[in-house]
Amino acid sequence: MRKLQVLLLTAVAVLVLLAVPALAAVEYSTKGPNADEIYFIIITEDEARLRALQLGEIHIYPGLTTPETIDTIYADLNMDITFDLGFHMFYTALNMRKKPLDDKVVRQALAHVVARDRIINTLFAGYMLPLESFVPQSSPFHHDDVKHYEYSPRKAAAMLDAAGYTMGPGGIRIDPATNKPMEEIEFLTPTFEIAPSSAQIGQLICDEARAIGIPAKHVPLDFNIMLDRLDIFDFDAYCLAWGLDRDPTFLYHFFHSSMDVKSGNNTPGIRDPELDQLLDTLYYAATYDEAMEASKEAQEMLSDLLPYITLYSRPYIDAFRTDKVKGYVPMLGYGAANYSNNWTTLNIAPVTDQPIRWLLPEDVKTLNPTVANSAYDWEILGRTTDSLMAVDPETMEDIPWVATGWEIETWKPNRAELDPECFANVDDEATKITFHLRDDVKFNDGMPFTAKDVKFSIDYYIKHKLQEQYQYLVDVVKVETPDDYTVVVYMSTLSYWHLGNLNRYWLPEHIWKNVEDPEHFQPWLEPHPTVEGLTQLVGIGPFMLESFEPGQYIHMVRNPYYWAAQ
Amino acid sequence: MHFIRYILKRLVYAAIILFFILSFNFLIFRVMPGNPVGTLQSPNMTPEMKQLVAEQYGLDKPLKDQYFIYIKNLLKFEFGYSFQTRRPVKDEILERLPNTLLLLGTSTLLSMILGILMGIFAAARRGSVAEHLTIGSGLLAYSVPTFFLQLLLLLAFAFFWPIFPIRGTMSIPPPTGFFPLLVDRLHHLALPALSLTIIGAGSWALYTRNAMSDALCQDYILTAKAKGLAPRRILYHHAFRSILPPIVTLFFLSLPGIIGGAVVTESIFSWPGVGRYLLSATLEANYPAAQGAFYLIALATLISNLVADLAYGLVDPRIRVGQGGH
Amino acid sequence: MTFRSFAKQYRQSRPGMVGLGILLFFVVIAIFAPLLTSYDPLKDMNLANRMAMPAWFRIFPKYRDALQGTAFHITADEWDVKTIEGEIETAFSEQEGDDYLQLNFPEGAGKVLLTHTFGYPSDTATVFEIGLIYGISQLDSGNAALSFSIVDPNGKTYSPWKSQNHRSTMEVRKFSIDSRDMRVKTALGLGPFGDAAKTVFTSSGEYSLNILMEKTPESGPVTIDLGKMTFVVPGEVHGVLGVDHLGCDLWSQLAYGTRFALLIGLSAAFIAVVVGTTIGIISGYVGGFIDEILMRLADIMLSVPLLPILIILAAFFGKSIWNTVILIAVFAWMGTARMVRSQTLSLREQTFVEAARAAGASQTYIMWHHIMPNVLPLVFASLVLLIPSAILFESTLSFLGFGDPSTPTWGNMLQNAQNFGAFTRLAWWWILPPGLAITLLAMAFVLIGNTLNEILDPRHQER
Repeated sequence: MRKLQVLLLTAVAVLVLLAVPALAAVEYSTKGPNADEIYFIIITEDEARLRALQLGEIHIYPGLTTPETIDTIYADLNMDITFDLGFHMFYTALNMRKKPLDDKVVRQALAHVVARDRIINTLFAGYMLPLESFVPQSSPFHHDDVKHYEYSPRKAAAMLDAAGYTMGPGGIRIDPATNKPMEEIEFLTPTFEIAPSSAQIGQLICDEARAIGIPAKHVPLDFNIMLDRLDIFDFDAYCLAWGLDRDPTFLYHFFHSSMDVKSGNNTPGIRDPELDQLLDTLYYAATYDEAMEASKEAQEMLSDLLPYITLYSRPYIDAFRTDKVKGYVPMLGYGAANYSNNWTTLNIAPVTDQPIRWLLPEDVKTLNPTVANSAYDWEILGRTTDSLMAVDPETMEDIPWVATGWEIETWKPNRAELDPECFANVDDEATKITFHLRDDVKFNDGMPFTAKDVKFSIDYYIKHKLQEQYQYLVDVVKVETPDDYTVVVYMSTLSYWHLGNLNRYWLPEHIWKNVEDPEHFQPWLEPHPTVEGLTQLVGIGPFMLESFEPGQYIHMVRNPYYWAAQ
Repeated sequence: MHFIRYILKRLVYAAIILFFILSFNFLIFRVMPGNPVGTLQSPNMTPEMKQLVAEQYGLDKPLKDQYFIYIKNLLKFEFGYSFQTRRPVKDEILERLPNTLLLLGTSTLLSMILGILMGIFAAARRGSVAEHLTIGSGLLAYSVPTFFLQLLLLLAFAFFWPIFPIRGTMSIPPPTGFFPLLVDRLHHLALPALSLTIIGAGSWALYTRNAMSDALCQDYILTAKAKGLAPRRILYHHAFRSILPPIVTLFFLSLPGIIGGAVVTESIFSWPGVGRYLLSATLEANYPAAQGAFYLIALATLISNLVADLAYGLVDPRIRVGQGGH
Repeated sequence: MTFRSFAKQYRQSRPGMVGLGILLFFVVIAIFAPLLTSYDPLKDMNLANRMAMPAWFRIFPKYRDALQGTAFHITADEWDVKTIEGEIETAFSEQEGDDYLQLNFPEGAGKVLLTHTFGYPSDTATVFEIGLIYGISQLDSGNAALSFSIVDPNGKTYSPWKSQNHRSTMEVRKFSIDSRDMRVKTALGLGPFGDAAKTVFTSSGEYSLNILMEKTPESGPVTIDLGKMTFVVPGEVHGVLGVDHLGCDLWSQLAYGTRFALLIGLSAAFIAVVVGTTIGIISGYVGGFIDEILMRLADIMLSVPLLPILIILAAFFGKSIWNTVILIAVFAWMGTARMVRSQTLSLREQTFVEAARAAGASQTYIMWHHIMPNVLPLVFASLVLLIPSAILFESTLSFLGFGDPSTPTWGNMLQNAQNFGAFTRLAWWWILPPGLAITLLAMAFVLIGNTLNEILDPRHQER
């Protein structure tokens, strides 16, 4: 349907155009960091955070969502708010294994009663982007020419009537397949306390469904209990959000039939051979163009099959006190304040003589990079490391960073040598990537960073099966280091995405080679073996850990050996 | 003799209760729905990896084995590793314990002192404003929900007039120097402790006033008055001393409620204590952390009950002499 | 004692009467809630802006000019139709019970302007929500499009919305033109944080809403059906107690919450007392091993810290009103049991009981017919004193997030206030009433219970 396509495309285009001038106006340096130290202050209550910002107790407030807060900050002349489209997707998943959601007509009818605009305007005062496709607008792989379902209870009712779901007694439709009233759909969301808007959305959708004769009940659950049920697919429908990435490989994990196993991410249970083929092409695409084509077709198909009803994508709205800090760089997909935004990390600087105070919305659980999995842990850890490639904030392209260049070639893996347990898929011609590293990179304890650290890290993650990092390295066959500044990584399959998968946290071999139990190792508490005053949390990033008071704050200081310093 | 028997009996009961609490603690967290591994999800994790995580956390052993391991560990105060942070739960609790003790200790002490003084004063001046005030505050103590009082105090003195901080135990980074640090911590302690004190004082005041009124009617008091002793001496030396034993007992009996009630206060003021730890661990299905915190709280309750019983036993002549036997 | 002497004694107690009065007040509200309120507490949303103040705030000079809501419809016959190009015919049609203005465009170019003027009373607005319903039938070739604009009293035109270029028919659909919508902000040239409503509505006076319908020359005949248009500017004030974050009436929530408070308090206390009395009588009368077991059980349950247990069990059993009631009751029977037990112990030795035993009455008979009636008065007082605890516990549990969110309880109101930003907004009219209600209701029961204790407790009677 091209009708709404134009409208939405215009909207998105305008929004992107809004963002670009903002970017163009901001000058940023590739050298840094410009700050000597940063305090990350943990405040977990919404109200307290705003108050802290107003009183100057924090200077940077990332990830704003509450409309009141946004409006209050916007009105304050001392504060600036940045607005970036994000790699974020809020959706409703539908269990296609169970009645009545196994019928496409029912799913599509439900899509027609999701009042996206009303939800966004009422619950979020308009601060969300309506999303109907399966890749957020911020990604270059977003495709808008998908099937659209405008809010129309009348149309939904007509669809159901036409498909034989006649209205029965008590306002519940009769399922033509069983000749009995439709089975009630249990709609799971987190509780009002944890995620009030999500719970509210669940309630609204259930009310709308009931109004057209689909029996639905909203069940707010504690988050872990909900995930427990999702693991064994004990649900009819649920609402959740994903924090995603630039690359659309998640489509494979969410919708490929091979992922329809216990604890798999294919929670809707979609098994469509044609879709599988598209997703295989996407996941194992050899080139960007191949990937792009496959992603477009996949999104078109998904919008017809509707395993999810996607609702909105959250823009990253971050607030900065301009009288205290400067140098933040808005960035598409991540926002100005996220740790993936290298440019802000390097350019942020205090305006007064007071050190920068940066809000951390939740407590840090661990600073062990081999097991850390929470976004808040990574706000700290991400700044202690550096990646082989950086992302251009405007074009989203990979640019050389710690790696001065790389070559992508192919090689022929020997199936006989590979353990079929670890390598289910082996291509005849697989990817081989050669990285050339800079020769001036040092860890924050002064030791040089070389190819052996890269090899050590990859081998270490694989050997100890440290899933947070390992999941991106499953296809790695071997790593070679022909010299100190060259790394060659051999994969078992051919895929365009392997390059992106190799931006890992680089562990210093001289520290981690002695760590037998990475699970329970607490590097930030262990004193450095040779350098006084340092801990064993050692990385190549622009900042290093100075002190960590659990529940209170984390103090980071500049890495004196950082390679990109002025 | 009889007293020893009494103590032993109480100790045995305490042990039995402890056993039940431990078992309940174990069962409820194992049986409770809630997947601790769930929060470790990421969109790209394969099912094999999630199974790996379950193994690494020891969630795959049969329930019976888990139980015995659990009992053994708990008696050694080994609480295992938190599912969320992978740090030893014991360390995390020890970090938070001083905060809880500080808050509860201060408010209990203040509420007792304030309440008792109010109660004595009110009992001595029957029908006065002081007495009505005391009774009124006792009434409020039973009627006002603690969390509501705290919300009001926050609204008034932290939001409307930003006199006090909204949360936490101290400013970040904490000020240097002994006195600035002390002032800062007191500044943060003020609202939470105040709220608990107000509520606590009401109860103490009412109880003390009732007990004192009864005591003041006793014969020996009349004798003292007739003898011409100064009223204040009568009040404090005789009447108050006589009600001291039940007050001490009541103190220990009130501890469990205070310990448990810390959960709400710590939640509202973001006070990093054991109560709040229990609350968030429960919501996150963080078994080891929740079990550890609950165990500690239950243990504290048990001990204070035991001490209350012992104190009562020491004080009540019937038990010391061994008369009756309830 | 007789009921008359009891009532007489009760009337003489001032605190008792005060308590009774307060209780009666709440009972009346609970019973007559539907008559006292005009809205559904949780379903009627968007009655006013988020956390709008109570309407009677306008007494205070500061809020005298607070924005009052404006809302109206424009029906098919209320439009002023002006043809600009082409020969357009208008007619009225009906579809599914609604009236539509039908505009029939013949072949060739066509342009028509529909206008409606209205007086807007305030000099500002925070949000506008305009609902535009239309459908296109009979379109085979060429384009048709609609655009909507608002003209302010000074003649300035704002164009917040344009339709797509229609190339084929479209079923009747509702479009929402909401000032918070990013697309509206963009259309008006504002950034993502701009305030569209404030930009358009800057002074009171005559505003006009315009719909321009255009058709390209090369297209054939087209019919556009225009439905009822809704215009809403939600106010900053509403109702007795204002509204919450979704625009639901707070007074309705408070009134219906009374029912839940009373229901939960009474049920939980009642169950606890029934259980406690039964156990107390059995324990006291039968004695021996059963007595030991039951009292040890009471000891165990008294030894667990109450709130942590309730939190854990609430997480386990799920959130419904009845789960909460039962949970509270399960942990509240011990006090009653002990008290009844000691009463039973002393009653057991009384002559009339001995006489019954001698006459051969069974244990059950004696417990039911002799012991129980005599402990009842005290039990009743204990019941009343348990109710405030039950109410307080339920509200604490709801506040912590373990209550049933589909019920408008006072605890839920306070939880929502905390979760949805009432503190930032200093919306004390949301925070104060439910908390005060809990306090007053609990206090009422305490006063009544204390009075009952004084009158009915045999020990007290001896004074």
